[in-house]
Amino acid sequence: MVKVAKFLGYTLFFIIALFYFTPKASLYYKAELELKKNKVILSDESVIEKPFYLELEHTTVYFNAIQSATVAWIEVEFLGVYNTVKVKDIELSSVVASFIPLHIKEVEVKYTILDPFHVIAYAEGDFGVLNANFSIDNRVLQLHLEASKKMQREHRSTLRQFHKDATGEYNYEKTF
Amino acid sequence: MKKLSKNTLLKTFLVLLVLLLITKTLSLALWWYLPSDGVNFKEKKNYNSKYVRVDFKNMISSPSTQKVVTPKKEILTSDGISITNMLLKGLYGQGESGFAIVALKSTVQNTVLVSIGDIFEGYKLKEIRRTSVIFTKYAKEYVLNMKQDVQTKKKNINYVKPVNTSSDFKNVSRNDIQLYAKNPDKIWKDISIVPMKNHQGFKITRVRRGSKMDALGLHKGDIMIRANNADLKSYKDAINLYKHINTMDVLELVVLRNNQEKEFIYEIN
Repeated sequence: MVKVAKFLGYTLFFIIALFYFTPKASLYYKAELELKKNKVILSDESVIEKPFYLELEHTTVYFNAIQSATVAWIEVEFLGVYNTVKVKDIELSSVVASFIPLHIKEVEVKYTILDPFHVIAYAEGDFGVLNANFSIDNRVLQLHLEASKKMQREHRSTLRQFHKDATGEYNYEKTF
Repeated sequence: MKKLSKNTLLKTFLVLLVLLLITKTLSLALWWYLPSDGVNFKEKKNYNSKYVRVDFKNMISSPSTQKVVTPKKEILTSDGISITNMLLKGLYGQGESGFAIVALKSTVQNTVLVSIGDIFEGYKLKEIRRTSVIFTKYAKEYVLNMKQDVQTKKKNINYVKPVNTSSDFKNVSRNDIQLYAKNPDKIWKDISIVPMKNHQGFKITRVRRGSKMDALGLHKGDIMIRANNADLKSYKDAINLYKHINTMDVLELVVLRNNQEKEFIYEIN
């Protein structure tokens, strides 16, 4: 029993040390290269490496060489069993002003090994509150939007893409 | 010594140290394999100069030296100069009256005033347009477009080509522009465009009859290739134009219609 406890203790220590020493900035640069293949570029950001996570400040996002958004703060936490990406203060490009309000207060994307077949996301901004669920096994994306008054007043054409349920909330589903 | 080797605390410490060394070695290997720099966006410059309207009075009063050509024919004839080495620095008048201020790229400061019918470096000035002039040489016609500066050497050749262009002037309400700028979905109700596969502009696939886009003179099948002297090669170029259209006073749009360039000048009032 003591041997098993020792083995588990050493394993835990090994994993924690591995995460501590992992070059998180270099991993992020590798991820950037992969994103670039899909025409997404994160530029001008300050990369701050913390012991168990990575922070990005003042990031400009380009899609297809078009400046699409600026992001004040991003935190990437990758611990294998529990992974999150937290984003704060996204300002979208004025190009999409007719589709959605430009300010997004925060976004959080979460994946844990306790629910291995789902990626869950939460977003809040001038558009309202959005909960998203992506099912990995059957590749279905479900969005549930509580639209703000501004969204309902100024962006009705976008809301038409959603299905309004009996409670007045908006749902969207897409299979990939 | 024996007592020391049996000390469990020391053993545990040694195991942890070994584990630390292993993890550090692994992370170093990973660090060596992974890239050390991130990706940054580098904007590809469009070397065409922006469309500029020149205030002729300001040019007259500028300190650069100007030679006034007396209305004799064939004063500055020289067959050795290519029109691609010439710059159009200003113009006055329209059609077959008026004059142009031209210079050679090698001596930009030495501008020369050329009237209709005069010959400069072997090229005879035939016609003056809003932003360009037409020279003739050996029965061929050449367009020399207005340039903002002389730093954009590489693309100059784009501005000089045998004449196939025709210009169309229209007035556009700023309110309409602002309406479109604020509501891009209204644009797509009136017009549809698709990018060309060779990245040489955007083809108009539909124009709603009676719409404001129709009134601009654009037709189905036209290929928009240039706006305010900036090539329209990608969505980025198109969006760049869209983002700044609210602040423009004049929009010069060049389209390919039946394989011929047609120039539209829109005065935004």
